[in-house]
Amino acid sequence: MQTPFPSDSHPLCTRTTMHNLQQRANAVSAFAISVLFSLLAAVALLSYVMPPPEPTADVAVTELRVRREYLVLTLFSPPVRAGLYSVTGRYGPDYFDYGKKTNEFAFLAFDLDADLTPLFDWNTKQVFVCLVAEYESKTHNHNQVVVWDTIIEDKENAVLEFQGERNTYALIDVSTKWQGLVANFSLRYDVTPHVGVLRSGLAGSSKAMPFPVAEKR
Amino acid sequence: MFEFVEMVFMSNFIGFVRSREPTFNVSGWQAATRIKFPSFNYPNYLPAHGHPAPPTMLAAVADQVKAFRQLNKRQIANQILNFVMIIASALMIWKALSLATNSESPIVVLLRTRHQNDVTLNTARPLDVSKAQILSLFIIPPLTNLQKFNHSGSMEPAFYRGDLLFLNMPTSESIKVGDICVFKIPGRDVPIVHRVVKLHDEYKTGKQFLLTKGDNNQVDDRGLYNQGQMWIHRDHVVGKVRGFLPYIGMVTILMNDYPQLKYVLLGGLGLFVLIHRE
Repeated sequence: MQTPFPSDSHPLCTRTTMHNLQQRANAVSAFAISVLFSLLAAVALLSYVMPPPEPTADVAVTELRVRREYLVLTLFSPPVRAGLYSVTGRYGPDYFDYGKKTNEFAFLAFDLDADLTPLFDWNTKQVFVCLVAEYESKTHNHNQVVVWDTIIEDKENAVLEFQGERNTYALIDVSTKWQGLVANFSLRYDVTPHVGVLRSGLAGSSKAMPFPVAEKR
Repeated sequence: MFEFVEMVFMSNFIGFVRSREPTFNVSGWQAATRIKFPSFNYPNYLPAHGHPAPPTMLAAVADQVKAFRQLNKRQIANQILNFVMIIASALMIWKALSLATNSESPIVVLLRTRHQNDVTLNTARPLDVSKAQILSLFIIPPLTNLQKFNHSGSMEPAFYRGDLLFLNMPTSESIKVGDICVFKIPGRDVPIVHRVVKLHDEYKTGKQFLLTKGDNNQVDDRGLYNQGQMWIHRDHVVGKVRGFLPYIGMVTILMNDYPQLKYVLLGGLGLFVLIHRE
């Protein structure tokens, strides 16, 4: 059926078709969603292309001790063993057995002076900060153990100044021995944005610290 | 999310192309559904008493049904093919993304937090694109039911329920401490999203021994692993979390909580695509 369409001849008629309500709603919602996602993509891209300056931190390990501990399962009659600390539980949350009853745990105290405020820009939701012991052993060429961590949610709390802070997580190797190992303690951060790409980095690290011989009781 | 955006653009594109079809060959279906405004369609025609009023919504629906009846077999087949093509292209993009990121499910939704032995578990679910769930974003405003799910999760305040996480797993890159990983414990279905806190790379085999922990948990994940399992390895890890988009996964969560809704939406969507023709 050929219908003459007079849009060209009529001065008031600028569109060639009319759209019903459903079509309009569809077009509007499709456009709104396109705009929303373009905006989110732009935010993600911008904060990826223009990252905030990297912060620096001074980490100094002031004390590093190693204790050989013997796990006692009965509370009331702990057997005394020569040169061993008898403990009824593992250090901190690390209560699972490494396959042995006698394990060497390292204990440390560290000074921290870090200003992480530059990490907080317009697209920062939270910053996860952790102190990581990094070392090499004969059987394992790369080892990383988190010994302390914190979550910073706003700029006001982003300056970390600690003196003699202790490790909150157990420092234990897979071999459960620290003899002859040298570790490097570094402060690492992981930034979660409101929208976009996660970013991580190294703020600073201590000098290499050799583990001492296990203390005798 | 990529394929979702793609889908939106595709629908725009189809709409765009079709709305600019030459209007001279108006016949059958189109002639029946076109709203006829006298001054618009027939500018030389002066409205007079007794001219039919502009059609109502009901009349529009009736027109659509009438139009659908007028479709011939070839046109119906075309519509079905159209629908299949949208689904197939979404699936193709999804699989391509999977190949590019080297992760079996490159986009996951933070689904539910489960309390187990005083440990909060963050579980993730692969986004199921093949069912075209994402298209239903048009139909449900996803933000209305947010208050309903206000659990304390193990990765809070970084991730909450309904957040969308983008994963990848480059073969050249090893896992580091501080990375947030999605991993599957053998014998269990639901992946977990937690942070790596201990890592030992074995010299001989190059195998990575990983220990994970939720940021908001007091203890590490050894209580969540299988009996006697001390570490997880790279082959348990689905992917590292690289990107983050809040709230968008709520649609998937709604679908998961109310399966009937899924069928209603999918049925409605299928019907819509079949019947609707611009």
